[in-house]
Amino acid sequence: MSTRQVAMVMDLNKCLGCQTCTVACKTLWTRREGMGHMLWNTVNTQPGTGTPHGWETMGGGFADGEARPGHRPALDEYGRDWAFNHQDVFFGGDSKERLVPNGGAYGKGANHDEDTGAGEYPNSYYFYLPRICNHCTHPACLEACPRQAIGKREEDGIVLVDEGRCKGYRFCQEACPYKKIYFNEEEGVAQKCIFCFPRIDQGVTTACSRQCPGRVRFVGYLDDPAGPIHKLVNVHQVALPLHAEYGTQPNVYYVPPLSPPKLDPDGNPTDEPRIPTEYLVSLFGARVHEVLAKLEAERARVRDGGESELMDLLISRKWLDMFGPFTRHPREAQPVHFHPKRQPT
Amino acid sequence: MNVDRREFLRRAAALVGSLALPDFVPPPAAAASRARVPAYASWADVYRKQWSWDRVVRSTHHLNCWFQAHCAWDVYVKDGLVFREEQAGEYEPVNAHLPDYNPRGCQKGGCFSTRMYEPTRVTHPLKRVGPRGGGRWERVSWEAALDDIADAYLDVTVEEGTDRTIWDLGPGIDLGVSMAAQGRFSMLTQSVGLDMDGEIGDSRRGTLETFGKIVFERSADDYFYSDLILFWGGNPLYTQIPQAHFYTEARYGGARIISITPDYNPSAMKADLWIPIKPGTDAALALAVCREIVFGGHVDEAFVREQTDLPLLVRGDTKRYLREADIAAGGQAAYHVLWDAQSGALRAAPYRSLALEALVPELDVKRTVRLADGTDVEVRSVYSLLKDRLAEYTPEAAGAECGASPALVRRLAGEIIAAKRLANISQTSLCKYFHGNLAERSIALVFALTGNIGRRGANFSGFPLLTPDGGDKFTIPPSLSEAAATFGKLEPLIKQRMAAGDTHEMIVTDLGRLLFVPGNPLLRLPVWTSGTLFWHVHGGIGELAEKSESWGLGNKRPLNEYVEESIAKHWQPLNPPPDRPPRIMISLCSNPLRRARGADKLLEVLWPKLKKIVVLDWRVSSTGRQADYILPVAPWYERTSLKWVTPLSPYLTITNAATPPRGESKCDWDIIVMLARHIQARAKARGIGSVKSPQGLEVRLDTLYDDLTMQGAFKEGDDDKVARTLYELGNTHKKLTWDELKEKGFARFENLPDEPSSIGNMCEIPPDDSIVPLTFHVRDKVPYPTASRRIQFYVDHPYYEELDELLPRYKAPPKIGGDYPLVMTGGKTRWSIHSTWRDSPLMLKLERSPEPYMLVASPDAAKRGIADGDWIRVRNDVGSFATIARVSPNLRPGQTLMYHAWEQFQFSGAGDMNSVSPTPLNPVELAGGHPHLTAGVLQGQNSVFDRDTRIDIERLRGRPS
Repeated sequence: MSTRQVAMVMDLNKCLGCQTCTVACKTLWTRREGMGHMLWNTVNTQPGTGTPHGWETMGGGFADGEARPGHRPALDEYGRDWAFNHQDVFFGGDSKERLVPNGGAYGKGANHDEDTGAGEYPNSYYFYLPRICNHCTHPACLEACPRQAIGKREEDGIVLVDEGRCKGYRFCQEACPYKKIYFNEEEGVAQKCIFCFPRIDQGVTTACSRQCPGRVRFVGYLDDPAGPIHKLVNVHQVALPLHAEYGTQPNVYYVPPLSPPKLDPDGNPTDEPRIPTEYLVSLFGARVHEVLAKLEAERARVRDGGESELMDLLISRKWLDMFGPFTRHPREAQPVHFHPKRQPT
Repeated sequence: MNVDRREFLRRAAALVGSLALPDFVPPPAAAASRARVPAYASWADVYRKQWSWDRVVRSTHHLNCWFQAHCAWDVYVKDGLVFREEQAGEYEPVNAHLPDYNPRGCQKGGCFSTRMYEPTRVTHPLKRVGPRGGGRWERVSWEAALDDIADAYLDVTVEEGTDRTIWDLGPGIDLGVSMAAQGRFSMLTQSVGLDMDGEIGDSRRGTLETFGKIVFERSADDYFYSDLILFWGGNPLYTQIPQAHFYTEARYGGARIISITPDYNPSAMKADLWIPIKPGTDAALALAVCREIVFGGHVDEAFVREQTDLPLLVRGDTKRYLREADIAAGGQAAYHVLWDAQSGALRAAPYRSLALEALVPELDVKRTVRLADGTDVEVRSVYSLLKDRLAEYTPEAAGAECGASPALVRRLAGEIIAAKRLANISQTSLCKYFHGNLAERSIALVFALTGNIGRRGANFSGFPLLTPDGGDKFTIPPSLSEAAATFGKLEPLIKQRMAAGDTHEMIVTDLGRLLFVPGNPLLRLPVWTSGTLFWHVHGGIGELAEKSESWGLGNKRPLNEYVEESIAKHWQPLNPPPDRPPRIMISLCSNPLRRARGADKLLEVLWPKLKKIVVLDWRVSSTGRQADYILPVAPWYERTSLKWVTPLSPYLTITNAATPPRGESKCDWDIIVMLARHIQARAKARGIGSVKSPQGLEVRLDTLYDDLTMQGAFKEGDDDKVARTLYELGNTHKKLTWDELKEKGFARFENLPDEPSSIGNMCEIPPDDSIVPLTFHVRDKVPYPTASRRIQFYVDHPYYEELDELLPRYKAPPKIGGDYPLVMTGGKTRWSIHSTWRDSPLMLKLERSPEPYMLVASPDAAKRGIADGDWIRVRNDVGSFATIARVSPNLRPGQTLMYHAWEQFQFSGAGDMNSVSPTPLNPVELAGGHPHLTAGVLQGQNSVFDRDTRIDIERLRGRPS
């Protein structure tokens, strides 16, 4: 057990599906060789197959305290790192050359079902679900690793793969029920979201949270009474874990999405949200009913001129309030210097 | 494969050191990276090292993000290369009630560090080898390229005239450093710049017709004050990523959101009510709402009496406004007339101010009045005429047109009537429909009738623009010391017009209109002309409309008659005129072959007329592929510049050079100045002195460089000095010095820019509150720049009478391209800013498909045996192309949708998404000779209409070859 746990709350009512988080993570962490296909952070349209495709049906995690067998996702299920033919198109001397990845045999990308969802017009519906490693309190990956290469940091519960110890057995990929672990074939190690530990260590929040233009992601310690995480998860209790039934006690929480009302056969609005609440329950558990009702009630209170700490929290007028103690400006952080001659200017 | 720990660390460290850059980049100090390997104590150090840097520079991306422009970024540099960027995140709170602006940014900006090193980057001047578009290039020196272009320019200018050289300005124009060079070049040479506002589909025509201007928008945080926000003609969650949080947060602040759109789009997801309607039927819905307001007795009478033309009287015999000159000998022709209930008599409407003083205008007037010549005519107020019009739009009738149930129409009207602070987010979607002007006029009427204009949280959204205003002072005078004398020539005119009761806004707007009148007697200016008309006439796009009589456009005469009349009467600007074909085109970070609807025609008709096609860009675009030269421009992390933004995010945001320009690329200021240098040198060498413009202005070719650079005061390499000068010449920012601004990266506007493209906002820019446009009209009673000096719903121009658009109304969407069962709608992609990131591997990897795709409604796909991912052919009477079908339950049956900006070279087989869009001109937009329908800067010109394109689709067996 770690002494403290850092956690994240993602407000799905604010997510834009823009993937700035994905890009922030990609440009910072996964540009080394063998990482081309990796998206430690993903945003997918729900209902949908997600990334890797069909991850919710791939097993892993725990059932009744027992490890559940799991499938190890294949490259095609994550979406491959495509090779594009820009040089041929621009300079190859053939005006008919077209820009196509992998010669056209590119399979499905990570966001293949973007903005699709389910239902029938005019009652179709969808929403965005951003995901990172859940840095679980009971990580299935950790238990599955025969090398004991996966650990939880004592000071903040961040789950890390020790890439020095890792031998690339990939049991962690089978065990993780969220399928958030990638394998680097070049380096021969498992790699995944590191919760930006070099930033966290210097009091700077994660790249995905700080770079999110939708102001979706709250970061902080679960036990910090002054921080937004504790208030949203424990006090107001509007942030729920994803697939808690997988048994790993994830530390990423979600404020479930409201949705415009369904229309009846005559095209008139009903009182029923168009995202079937039962679907949300299948993701976030039975408390979804209560949370959605609370969000609407608090909105109504503010609309009538009242005060609401919950609404103020979710608005976060001051952006930095979203990040608990991790409010240091990244530019002010001390970059690690391995070469004595180089100094920041 | 397994590697031991030491081997792993060595390899990972080497990779970090080289940043996994593509092959063509010289490996930066690879040996040095390896030398540092021993410093890595553990795998964790590899990650710590990844998040390290040598330098941080504040910069941004100066391209046409328009509604989303711009965001302050920190650019992180390591080993002489930009390796990542992260938002600055230092916007100060505006006040305690409003959410702050942090962090802004989007996924495109977040990966420009990758984009600038991709294979699309051009780093050396390239000259075509073999036929245009053949894909063969040779690297040439700047000297050789510019000498060749200079000679071609001199040949054309001397033999055929100064107006044969065209600047394709495109939406990438910055009104800053690059435009300072282009503007001076055009002013001196009288070469012609294309105003693309209409051609890119941003005309906001109905807004112009109603308000006499299109530019007015609030700051995005002002929406936080609204209690009802309509997403109507905009998809802000998708296309306003940096400020979309204000809309989602407004919901937590108590606002409700209603989305009105054919498809269940990503913004509809955040709404409290979604009203699905048929594409192009928004006017019917809006007018039904107006009917509920008017007949339900919910009109804000004080507002409409004072601010709108509803009380003004219209003659029954001529269908023109009744003027004071009609009713009284010696009366003013400019004065409109109303019926004053107080005195029970006709009175001239207030002219110099909107304030009614003692007048109590009657709204519902229908009576016979005696004219000065003794004849009796029936007159009616605009309100009275409107009431008759609105009576037709019952919720049942309008609902049948737009596809919304009558109960839903009433619900919308009820929520609008109950709202205290109503706002809309209407971007530039409706104006891409052929009758979009009528939709905008009808929606504006909803806001006017309920008085939701010009108040905090309550506003009709116009077109957003906010420009630093030093540019004209730099561009127009011969030198900075002559600026006062140059602009002093305007003083008598300005005084005379002010004395006659014209407003400052009207005068500034009219000065902007002079750009479209080459050789005007007042001031030597750069020359601008209508981009849409230019493509239509010189580019051959007009040929696509030959079959338009069968498309149900509702024209009373052949389209060409309107075009010829408009050009002959100088109602719409076209330079050069039709009988003078253009010869040289210089594209300034513009990409018309990707953008122009029907662009195939440009290749067929315009290209053969052009002796030189020169593209200035940092990447290879569709247009670059078909050019004679591609000149490498340094993008934003390699130069200093400043550029316009919008009130939505009212922060001037600058770029800084984080690293030197790659290869031989140069900033566009430098390139244009160097071109002038080569023209001057070649002119001297060839014994060419000066020529005359068609209007008789002298154009000195042998001193062009000296004149452009103000005798060497601003020359090559001076982009930073130019930016500083532009900033210091302007009146919009006084708090920060240029050096402080460069350090900080952004600065909130302090004052309303005093220049034609931004003055329409007509409001203060408070330091501690949101921006509320039109305040000067609504609060201070300054007249609007319309013919009636009020928000105007009756447009008494002969074309509007001929086409029955005197009043707002609904017209059924035409069938552009032929009578086909599906409508092809579109929208801006979230994955690129126009085509700038369209072929970015990272963006394509994150998009639904890495090739062009069309969203097709599930039942339409099923009916045609089309499955998700199938190849399809899209066709109509004017063309066809192939694409991938992505089947969606969120599309309205009968609707298809293609997000924009795919490059031609991304389409397999012949044709691209523009091949089916003939975009015929709308005759009402050819109108002129009228106070506020005259073309001006970024407004009052012809639009493009691709949203009414009719198509059918069929399944293909596979990718076409």
